[in-house]
Amino acid sequence: MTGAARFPVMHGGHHARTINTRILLTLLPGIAVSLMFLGYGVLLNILVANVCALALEAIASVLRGHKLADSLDDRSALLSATLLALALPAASPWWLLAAASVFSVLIARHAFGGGGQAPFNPAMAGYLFVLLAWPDQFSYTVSAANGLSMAALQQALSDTLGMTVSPTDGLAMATPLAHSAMLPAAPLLEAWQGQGLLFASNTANQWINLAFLGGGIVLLITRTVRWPIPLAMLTGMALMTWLFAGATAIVPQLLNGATMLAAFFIATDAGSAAITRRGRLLFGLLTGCAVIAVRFWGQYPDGVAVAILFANFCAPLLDLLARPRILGHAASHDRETAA
Amino acid sequence: MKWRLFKSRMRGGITPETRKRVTLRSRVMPMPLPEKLILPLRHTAHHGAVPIVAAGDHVLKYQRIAEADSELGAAIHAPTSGRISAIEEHNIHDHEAGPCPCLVLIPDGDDKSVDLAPVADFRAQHPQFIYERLLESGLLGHGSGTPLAAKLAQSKSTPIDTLIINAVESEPYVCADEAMLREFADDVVQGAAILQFASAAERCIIACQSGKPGAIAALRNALVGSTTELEILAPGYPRGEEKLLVHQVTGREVPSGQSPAAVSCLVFNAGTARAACLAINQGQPAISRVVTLAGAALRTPKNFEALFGTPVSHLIELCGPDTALHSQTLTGGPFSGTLCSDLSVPVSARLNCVIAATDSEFPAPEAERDCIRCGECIDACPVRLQPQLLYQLSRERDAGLLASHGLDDCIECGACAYVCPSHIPLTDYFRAGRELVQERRQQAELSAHWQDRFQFHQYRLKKDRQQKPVAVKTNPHEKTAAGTENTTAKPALSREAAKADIAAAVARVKARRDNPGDKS
Repeated sequence: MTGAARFPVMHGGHHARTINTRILLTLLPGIAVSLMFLGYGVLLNILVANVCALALEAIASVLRGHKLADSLDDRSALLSATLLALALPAASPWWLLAAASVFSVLIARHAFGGGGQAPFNPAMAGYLFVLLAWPDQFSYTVSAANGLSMAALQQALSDTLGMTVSPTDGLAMATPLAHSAMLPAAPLLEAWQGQGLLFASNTANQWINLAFLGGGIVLLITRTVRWPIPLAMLTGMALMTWLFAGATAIVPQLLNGATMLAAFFIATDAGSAAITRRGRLLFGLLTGCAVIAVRFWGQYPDGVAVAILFANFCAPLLDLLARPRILGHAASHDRETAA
Repeated sequence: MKWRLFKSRMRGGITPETRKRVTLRSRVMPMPLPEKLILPLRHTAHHGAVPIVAAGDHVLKYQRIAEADSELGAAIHAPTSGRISAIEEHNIHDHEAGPCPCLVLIPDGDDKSVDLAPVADFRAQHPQFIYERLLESGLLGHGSGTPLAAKLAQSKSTPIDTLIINAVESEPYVCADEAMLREFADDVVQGAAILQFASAAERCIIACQSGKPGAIAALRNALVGSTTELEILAPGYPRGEEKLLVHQVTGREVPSGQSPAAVSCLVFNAGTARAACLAINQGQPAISRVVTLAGAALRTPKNFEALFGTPVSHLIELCGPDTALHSQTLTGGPFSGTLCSDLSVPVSARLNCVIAATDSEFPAPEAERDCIRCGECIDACPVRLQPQLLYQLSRERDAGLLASHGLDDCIECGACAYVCPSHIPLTDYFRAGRELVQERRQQAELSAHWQDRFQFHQYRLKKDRQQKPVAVKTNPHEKTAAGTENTTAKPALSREAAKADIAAAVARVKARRDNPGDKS
């Protein structure tokens, strides 16, 4: 008697690897559009971040006594690195990416036990770490590296290698998380209220967001990612915008910054988000509201990273408050046993 | 006749491949007699039957060969005529307790039967008479394996308003009830009426699942002119689980740790209903059931009307097994069954399915990985537990939190393990967790017991000391008091009085601990 020895003997065939691979594939349209608008720097970011992530995963698995093949097997390291790369300004210097990766992989991910144990979204933790440590690297000006010419490639390469001394001024967006470069520094709220549906300076961002939205919809249709978090987050953002800036600002807000990337790909990160059914809805709403709050009244360029980290802090509490009532139990089972 | 389509109150669950079609090609087949029949004398872990025949006796078909040993036991009748060759230990499929004493019957091939006493019109009888007939027939529930009469007896203490006949059979492979219903729907409907009569239930509902066109059509035919209702549930597993079924059909939630009778429902399996019909209308005691023989290692999988006691290997032989491919055998379905290493285990009332599987059919499980907290298990759990949390707590061996997060409510359906992308055998963890909780409860009980005894002992010593004449160091006017106390009859040390005293003392200590301020 060989074969299956544990029950049930049937398995649905779901695998963490296929889930993460699908998410990576659905990122492609967004990456392609980013490439068009932001130049080769996007690809270089992804390349450097993934190389760093692989190296750091190897170190982490040695330190933790795991097999490297096992820890790379589910491809969550690649996904996390790609998200981090997309969050940072295109053609960031390599050391900035490396620093973000070190924090993301070693501290935010493995120090807490890896995978589902990490309480904070590793990509966003890494992003915020370098944002706090080297704010000057987030000047949201892009060198001449945008465009897809040979010269642009050379420029992007020298940016990445950290050889560019003073970045030349540019107009396009450096990173999806840095939309406010296009806006007057303060007060942001008034600036948002004045904006119409299509404003020239944000065209790039709108296309990038639409591309990520497309990928996100594929994720929902294939049920790779469940709908509550993305939809609740977008709803939360729309509600907050409507309340404080009026209905006309809703669509520009939703298509700005890293909204779609965050809603479908970052906030849905399984380990750090809320997990119960109602908890997911609350988590999404909270993230959405926090994004708009940071955008309107905060100091940071885009609310997404801060908002997601904030929601990560709240996730265990949300899960506790929204824990499901077990079938056959009166209202809240564990409160009554605790009493 | 009323029926509704796809009424669904169940949340969660899964929709695995059903893999029933091949097996359902054939009708329910009669079975040639095996060389020997093995009849276990234990039905559940602690109850069973006491033999009333001895080794060497010749018995006839339907003859009673063992009496119920208790309220939860059931009588056993000979499935065919033959000679009792021995009473010996034998492996059985459904409890892990190990071998169990069994009657071994060698059929003589004549199949000669005792005279049966059918009841012509059950409605003309008293319900008590019907109940006693069912009790005598030794019927065991086809789902739970507990005696039908014991379940029916619940209707005497609690009024039952809804009787549910469970023909859902949502587990993959298993199609014994579906095949049986296609041919014997009339019997099932009759049996339902008998059970309704005996339990005095107001409504009777037969629950079936969509995707069983043959069974549903047969049931609709049989239900013409009957007050019994038909409820068709949406596809998916584990919709047939007793408590979930009650919830889906009536909207009532069975309270944690109680049986459906707590919400005025009784649930019987469709096979049990048919057996009840045969017991009353034909006078036949329970001697057989329909069993599904499935699996990729069988050339002709089919359903058999199998006599109780038939070795599983006999049934497998009848389906043309491919011995080269046949690598594992399951008794029960792929979710509820167990791996079976001894193929001579007998068919019992509980055994609904035997799967002779190949290696590729149920591949060896993938390596278990870390939980990624994806929440798939939460979505799959029909009881609304948080399996990822219970898994964590099982690993941490935290019995208290396991219990408070509802491990006792887990129905071990395996839906969470089926969807887990990290291939964590969650059900196995929960079984281990259950054992832990059980162990801790026993320890707590024991410690309470010994604490009780210790306190009583202390109390008695104290009382004894008070009642003893204080011999020396007392002043003169207390001496008389002590003397009179000594002469009075020693008050009996009752445990009740002691308990009250101890409780008061404990309360005093607690009050002192809670308000450390007033240490007066």
